[in-house]
Amino acid sequence: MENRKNRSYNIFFNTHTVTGIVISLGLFVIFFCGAFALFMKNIDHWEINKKNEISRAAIDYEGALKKVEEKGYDMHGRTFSISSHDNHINIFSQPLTDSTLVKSSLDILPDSVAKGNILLEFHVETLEDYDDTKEVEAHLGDYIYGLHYFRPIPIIGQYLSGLVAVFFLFAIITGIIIHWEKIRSNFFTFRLKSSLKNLWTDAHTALGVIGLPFQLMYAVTGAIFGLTILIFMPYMMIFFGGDQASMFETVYPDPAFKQYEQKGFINENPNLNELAELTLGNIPNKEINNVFTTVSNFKDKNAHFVISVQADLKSGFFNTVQDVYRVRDGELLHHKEASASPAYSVAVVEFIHKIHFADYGNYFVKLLYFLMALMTCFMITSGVMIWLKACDKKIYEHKKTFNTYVGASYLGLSMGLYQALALMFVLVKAVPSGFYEPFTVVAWFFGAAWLAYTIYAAVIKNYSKITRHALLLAGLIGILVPLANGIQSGLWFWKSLPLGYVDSFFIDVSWLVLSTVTLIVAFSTRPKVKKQKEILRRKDTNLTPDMFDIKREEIQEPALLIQATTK
Amino acid sequence: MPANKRYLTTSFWAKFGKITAAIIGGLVTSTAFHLALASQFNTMIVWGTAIFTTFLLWAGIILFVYWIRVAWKAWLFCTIVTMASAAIIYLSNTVNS
Repeated sequence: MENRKNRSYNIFFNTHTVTGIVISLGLFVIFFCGAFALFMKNIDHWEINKKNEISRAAIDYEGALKKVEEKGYDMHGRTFSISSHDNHINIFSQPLTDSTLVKSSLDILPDSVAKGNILLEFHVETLEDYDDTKEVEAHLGDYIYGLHYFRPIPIIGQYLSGLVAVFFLFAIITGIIIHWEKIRSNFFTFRLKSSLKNLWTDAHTALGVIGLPFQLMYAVTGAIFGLTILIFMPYMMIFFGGDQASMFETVYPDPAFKQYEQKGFINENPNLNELAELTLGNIPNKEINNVFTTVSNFKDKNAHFVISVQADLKSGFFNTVQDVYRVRDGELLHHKEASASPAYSVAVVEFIHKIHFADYGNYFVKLLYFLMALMTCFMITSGVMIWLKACDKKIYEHKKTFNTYVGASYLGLSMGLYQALALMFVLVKAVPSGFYEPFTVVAWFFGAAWLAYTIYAAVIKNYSKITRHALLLAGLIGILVPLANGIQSGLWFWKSLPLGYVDSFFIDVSWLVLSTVTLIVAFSTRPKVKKQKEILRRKDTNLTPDMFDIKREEIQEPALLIQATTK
Repeated sequence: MPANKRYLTTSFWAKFGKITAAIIGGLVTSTAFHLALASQFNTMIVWGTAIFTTFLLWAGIILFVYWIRVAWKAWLFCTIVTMASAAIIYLSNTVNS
């Protein structure tokens, strides 16, 4: 019985170590970039010096649709979406299908623009074409977000991040299994003054247990986002014959995606603005955050108008009001209050989305997420440090060069990411906008800085120096972020808040705080490392307490192992 | 402080068999199991649940595969569950149509 227990313990211990090491670097990048990507919209506002204001101007549906028709598109029988974000309206429609054309008996040439897909952007108030060459576009937030799921790796990047998440889930389960018996006794153990090995062990287990709900949530939701294809394709192929639309109708009953049958065209066009007003009129104007509308079978007897209004956060967790109108007679067919929950599977998807992106909260919740994500990064690195410490023994002497090299490169890659990200924030402000594709230059420098630090790490090979220097660099560059922003935009952080540039203020101050903390940590670890070395010298390096307190006889003596293999 | 080697698989093929059973077998088995459920019960409810339970079950199967002593037994388990699920889906399809 005892033997069987030891067997499972050792097997799960081994799989935990192996999966942990295999995914550690990817997982570190995911959590570290993800921590920053939580603020991607704020970063975008900061980058292009945009005021925090939500345009509450009501969309002029009739005017916008008129403009679309003026551009030569045929709107008969189309199903399209109209939504607004920031200060522009987006209109999107799939091309008209042949069956629509046959039914509508319209005389449109098959390849004409009139039936093609529509992707238009108008200014919300003037309804003028939105010209994105005139506007400054933000890149940084999106770039960091993409990095967070390995988008720079072509094709497989996203799937790879999903796989990493699955193995993270596995590592969490095995980690809890091997730590199970000590989970209570070691919960409050954090031996800061003992050996470094104990510090890494305590950090890994204590932070792993404290962060368990957060990490478990991210392991599962991350896998879902990375490997969405796995929960779509099999069901679509087996139950719906590959028909995406009919699958959506069954498994994702969101009225906005519902398809309605066409019943022939009518000439009179009821006013969509009036229908929208019926819904919007019931919600106080300042509680409206986003309006998303879809129109199906436009100009048909069976046309439907679906309006989803994202209301104020206090109204409920699924804070959307949703109304479905039959356009012909303006009858309200379906109504969902902001406090009501949508259909089960829609609720699941929305829930996953909200908890993954911390959308249910604002700055405070996101800051908590940010700290938890950084804590997870520390948990990941400490796990690798345990392994490196364990390999730092006499019997692994023959592998020592290799192990040190791997350890140094790993630390260089993970710690170097911090200073490279900070550098990107500075460069976004420093590279002049007249430059040829300024963001390409920024991204290139980011990669170069990251690589350069990894090479530097592999050269100096001193773990504590690698970490300390990365923190020093990141702290110093981070201090420059508000400086660069102030010089470039004049929005110094003591000016930006009263002027209404909340995100400009937020990002500047966050970098100031973050880099100050980073510098304090960088300077305060130096004496600690010295002390550690002294302790080690005094104790003659032979540390007996084993971190997981496995009975000594359970671990085959390494010396014996080597003898056995050499024989 | 690596784990005690006495309890670990050592041969290349055994390791290879376990890794593939864990990753590919686990994924296929987990998906097939949920598909079978979806064919029997409310598709919307099962799909909405499968969104997250597919991955939880997958991780569980990886655990199971490593806990089982020999790789071929793990593969046998994956095959049996997948085949049974396929049979259930096939039967429910023919009954319905």
